[in-house]
Amino acid sequence: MRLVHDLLDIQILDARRRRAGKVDDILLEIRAGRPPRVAAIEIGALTLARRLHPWLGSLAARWAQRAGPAAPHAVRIPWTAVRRIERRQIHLRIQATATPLWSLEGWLAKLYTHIPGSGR
Amino acid sequence: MKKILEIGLGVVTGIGGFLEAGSLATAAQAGAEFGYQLLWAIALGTLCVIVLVEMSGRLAAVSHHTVVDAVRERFGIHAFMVPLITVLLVSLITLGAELGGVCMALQLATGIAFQRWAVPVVVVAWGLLWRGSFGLIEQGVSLLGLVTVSFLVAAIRQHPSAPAVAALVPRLPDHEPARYGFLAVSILGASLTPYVFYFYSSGAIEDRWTRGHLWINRVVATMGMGFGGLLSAAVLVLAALVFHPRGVRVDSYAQIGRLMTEALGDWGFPLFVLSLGIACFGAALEISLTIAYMIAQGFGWNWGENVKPRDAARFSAVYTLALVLATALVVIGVDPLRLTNISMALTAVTLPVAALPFLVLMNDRHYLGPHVNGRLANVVVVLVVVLAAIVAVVALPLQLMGG
Repeated sequence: MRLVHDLLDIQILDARRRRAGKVDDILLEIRAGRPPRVAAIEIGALTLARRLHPWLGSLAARWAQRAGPAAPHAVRIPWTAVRRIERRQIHLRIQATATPLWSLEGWLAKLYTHIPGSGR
Repeated sequence: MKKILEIGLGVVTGIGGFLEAGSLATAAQAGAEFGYQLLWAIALGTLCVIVLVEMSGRLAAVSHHTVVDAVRERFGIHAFMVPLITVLLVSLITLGAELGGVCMALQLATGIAFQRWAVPVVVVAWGLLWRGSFGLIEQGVSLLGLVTVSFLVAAIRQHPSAPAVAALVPRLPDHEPARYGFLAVSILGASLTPYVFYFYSSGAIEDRWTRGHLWINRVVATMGMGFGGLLSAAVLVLAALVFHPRGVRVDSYAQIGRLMTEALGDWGFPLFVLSLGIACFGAALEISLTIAYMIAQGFGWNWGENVKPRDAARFSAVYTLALVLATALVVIGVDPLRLTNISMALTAVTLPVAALPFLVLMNDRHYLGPHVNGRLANVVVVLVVVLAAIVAVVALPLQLMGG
């Protein structure tokens, strides 16, 4: 597999096929005497900001310290949580709702329960 | 049988959804100021939008990727941010123009100033997005949009003469070359607004298209957009026959309102108001959704108009926010026609940024296998898009300086 071509920036689906972000970065593990391997994928606005520009990354990091559901985050999903890659999509074994990937989504969804029609 | 129904619905959607503030206003202005002379721009724009829409449907049917998904994946985040931000900004201004168009139609119908209609209009639009399914929005609005066929009826009743057909060949203007160029690119911008093909590819994914839809896609794109373009041409022909001989320059929507009164009598004005209102309202819904599609697909969030708002929470938040921002443009009282002209010219300038990465993608066998673009499609898109951008860069400053 070519990491940048086939893994970076592809869609992630969780165990229930919810869209749970894109592969914003890849973490490699360097092993003595053996080829490096993918340890984890990283997802989130913080990761993305860092990848776009270091300056943007540090700006986002400073904002992230002020907590809140809208704060940018960087979530690491270990490679062991990946079930398979199919049609350029990563399928996870885990549910995104159980991870910080869903913090803003969950917060908004809770907010929506006060608005009629949110569950149609 | 089911496929025939699907085609019928698709074509109707294309026709009913084609006209919006941009195509209507630019065609009316072109006809009023230059007679039939700019008909070629509508023909060229329609040809190019047929090709682009067919491409985006083919990409979705074969690769199960929307245009946005595929562009981010193929070009990486840096290259993706450029079209994303550009198209987002232009789409927001266009959304303001469409909402302004709806408010203008309401002003023409009631006499109450357009700014006051902004909030009620946006509340209704948001309510439909919040509660409605993709099918309801796409097909419901397009069926109502068939009222715009009245432009074609009116144009035929005016008995356009033979020179109209001759104007399908591009030629240089006999006066005001800067204004002519500006209107030509505005027409191209109006036909080729990127939201159309981004929306179409998202719709193909929402409707779960497969390779079996490829020929449906071809028919729907060609006939839907083709007949849609005919409506734009009808507006231009009407303006050429009604406004041009009298030397009327179109500076407001109220003036365009008289477009059909000569041909349709008492029905002319109400039909115009209805057409303007519905066409712009439909476009406003589609653009709001497209803005949400782009951001959600770009960052991999759950999206879909067939999903409950609480299950695509960030997606719903984006269209809500987009509607609020665009409404602000109307509330502060920016003239809707002016907003329309600005947004169409901006669309033309930014076209290469949106269309060229997409074109590269359509030649990538990783995504399309044997269904990559033919040479003709590539040539048409590159030619029209680059031409529009160059003319826009030249004509825009001239137009602004000339007032």
